Amino acid sequence: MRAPRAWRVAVLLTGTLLLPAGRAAADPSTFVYADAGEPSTIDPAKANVNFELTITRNVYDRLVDFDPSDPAHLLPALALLWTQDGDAWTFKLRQGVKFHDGQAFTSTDVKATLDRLLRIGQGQSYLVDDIASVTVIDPATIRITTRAPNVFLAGNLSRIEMSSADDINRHAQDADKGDAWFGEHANGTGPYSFVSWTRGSQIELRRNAGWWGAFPKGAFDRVIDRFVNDGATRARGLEGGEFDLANFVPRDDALRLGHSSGFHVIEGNNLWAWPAIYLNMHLAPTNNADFRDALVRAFDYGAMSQYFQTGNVIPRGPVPSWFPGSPEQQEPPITTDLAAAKDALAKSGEGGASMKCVIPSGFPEFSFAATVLQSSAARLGIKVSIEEAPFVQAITAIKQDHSNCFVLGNANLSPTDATKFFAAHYLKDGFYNSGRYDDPALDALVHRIPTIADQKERDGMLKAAFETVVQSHYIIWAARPTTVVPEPDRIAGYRIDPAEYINARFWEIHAAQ
Amino acid sequence: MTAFIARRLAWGVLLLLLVATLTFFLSRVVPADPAAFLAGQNTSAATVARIRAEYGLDRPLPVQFATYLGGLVRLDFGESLRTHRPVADDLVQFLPASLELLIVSFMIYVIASFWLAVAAARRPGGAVDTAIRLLTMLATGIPVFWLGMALQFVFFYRLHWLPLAGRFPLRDTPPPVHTGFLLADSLIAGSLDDVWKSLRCLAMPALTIVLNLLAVGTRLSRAALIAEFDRPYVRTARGKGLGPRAILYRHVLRNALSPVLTVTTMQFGYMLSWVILVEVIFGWPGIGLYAYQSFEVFDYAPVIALAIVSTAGFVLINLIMDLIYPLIDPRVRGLAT
Repeated sequence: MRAPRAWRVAVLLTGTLLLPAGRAAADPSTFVYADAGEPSTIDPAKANVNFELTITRNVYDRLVDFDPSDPAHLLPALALLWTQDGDAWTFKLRQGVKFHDGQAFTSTDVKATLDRLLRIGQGQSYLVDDIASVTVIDPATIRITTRAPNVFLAGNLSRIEMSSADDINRHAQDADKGDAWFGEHANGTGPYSFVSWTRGSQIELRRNAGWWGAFPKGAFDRVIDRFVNDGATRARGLEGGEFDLANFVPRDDALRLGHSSGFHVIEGNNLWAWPAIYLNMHLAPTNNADFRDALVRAFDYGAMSQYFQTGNVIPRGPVPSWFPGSPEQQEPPITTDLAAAKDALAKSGEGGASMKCVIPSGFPEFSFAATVLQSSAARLGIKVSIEEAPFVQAITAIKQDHSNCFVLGNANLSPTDATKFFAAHYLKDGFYNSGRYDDPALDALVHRIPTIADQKERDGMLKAAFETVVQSHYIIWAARPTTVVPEPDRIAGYRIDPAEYINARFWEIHAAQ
Repeated sequence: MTAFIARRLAWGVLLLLLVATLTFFLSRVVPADPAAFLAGQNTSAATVARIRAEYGLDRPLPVQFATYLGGLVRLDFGESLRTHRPVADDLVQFLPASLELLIVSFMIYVIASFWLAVAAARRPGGAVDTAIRLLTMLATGIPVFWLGMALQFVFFYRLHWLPLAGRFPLRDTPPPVHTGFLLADSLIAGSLDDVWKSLRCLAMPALTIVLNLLAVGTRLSRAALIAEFDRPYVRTARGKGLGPRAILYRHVLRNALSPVLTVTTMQFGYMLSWVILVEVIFGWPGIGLYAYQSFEVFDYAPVIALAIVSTAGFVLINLIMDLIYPLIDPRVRGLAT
């Protein structure tokens, strides 16, 4: 038999294949970021999902920036100065800025970008959807007029990325007005330029040596944004040195890794609630306010704190205390109170009721919160059945009255404006207003807040809106954990951005000295 | 023979039509709105409605189906809501990665299962046979996702021997794309180093697939070989003084090949299903990962296209096997005409 020789060949081949190739991080100028998925688009007018914003945020600049450690403090970016006069805002632009293709950045680019963004109506456009017109005053000055005075416009523009008018005009005659081109090409003024997109694998960026901003010492010349769908794989790759940083590392892994040798923990606030349980206002028994009150009071908040291990607070309402103007500290805590829950249930007349929750799959925290709701409700004699479904299916289920509840994470993507969050989650037709909470008085109040120049008055209105939502018992704010990111000791500069779900400002990240 | 092939192809087309119809209507039954996903968060109802109209999702189902079938005839599978590209383009992009993984895995599987089956069948019930049966059963009993993660833990995390995921080391530049098959493209570029890098990336995903399939293939091949070894012609051959190697390769193997081939064909089908999980675990940019990402967001067009392509693969493999049977076994020659 020749088998023994064949075995020898096989063993030799396998052995050679397994020869150690050395640790992956051999190229010190390259930074590898493991992102949670592949962008559907890198069009700044459409980018919406976290791993799409990873690209647009680093390739394009915004008119205004903000300090992540103090989001109320707006900083110059493509605009150096800005002033508000009633419903008109005037921005003086930075001069000498160039797009990656060499074209100069001027006010024409701002106008073309905003006009295109508002025409498409997707991505971050909801943050500036009250813009009535954009007027070019001169190449370095732009005037933006809103339908009503809006004190938050400058802050909200810190989320809007500026494209080139040349690119927009060049593709305006395409059948899709350039949507396909912008979907897979990127020409910004930002700190990194787009190099290539290997479908299914990665996007490569290169440091823009001509950027107007300053890079820290040790900034990376090349960034690879690697698409890694599986959270456990991202954690393993980070731990094994294949990746330099990873997005959405599962919390258990993040805590373990962050406290292990060779890593440190970056911890900060960006979540408003994680998770929040939305109760259907149109389907029995959750259409009964006292029944919802019973669920809110019966919920075991302590179980959620135990689940998150560290860094969790129990929200007192929709707006976290660290957000500018938040009234949370003045509000009473929400705690588990079984006796009060039983009273509320008796008042509702829904004793012994049963309800169904269709929740998004793939989020262990959401599943756990639903299970806590189930066991908490059981103590009142209420039966809760849980179904998991993909996100789109789960949100459709509650919107079509096939589910009494829905679980979601909350974050606000404006550094200063809470009204956009209210609009999305609590006002009529808001995309995340899945349980269809409808209060015309709240709608009117929230719409008026941006028009008020006096900050104290605005804060008072925000407090009123906050309390209205709490008293409706529409939401169970189950927890508000800090975000934990494990950063290898060889890397520095990562900061949690309070106006993102999670963010990677590649231009701030550098090799540790 | 021509009539046989024509008949088989006709049945294949009918099957594809059935699969297209079933998957099309099943995908529409799911209570979810892909236009809402495409529009993104915080988008107005008017924008969602506009997108629904743009993609024809607001039209009656029979109209959507007729449009879809019309496109299929031209090999137009529609457009992916997620990638915003024609599905056919995506398939061309991702299929070579999956085929490369499948072909390499299949080759390893065929060789390994044959080797193991021969080794086990030579002394049924012996120590080698028992060890092989035990090991292959163990490998099959382990869920594929767990096995993949365990291999990553050992070979990447503990030993640093193999890359964690992907088709090519992520800090390196892959060879220029000619065929989409990295091994072939590396050879075309004349870079043995790139061939080696590609093989190292292939090792863990391929091993995960092979280990999960090995038990069934080995056991069935072993049973077929043992059955042949018990036949009178083997005793006659031994009586004539023929050595074990000659008996195996000249007589037993040829007669045992038909059932082995049947099993191998079936296993190829199983490999297509494993490939989705394996590609997700190992970040392998093939049609499995593409399918997974499409499922997640109810991107109908790729899901239906992948069902059709997989079915076509099955049909093709079965047709090839049907043509091979008569070549290796004269007893079925009459049946294939």
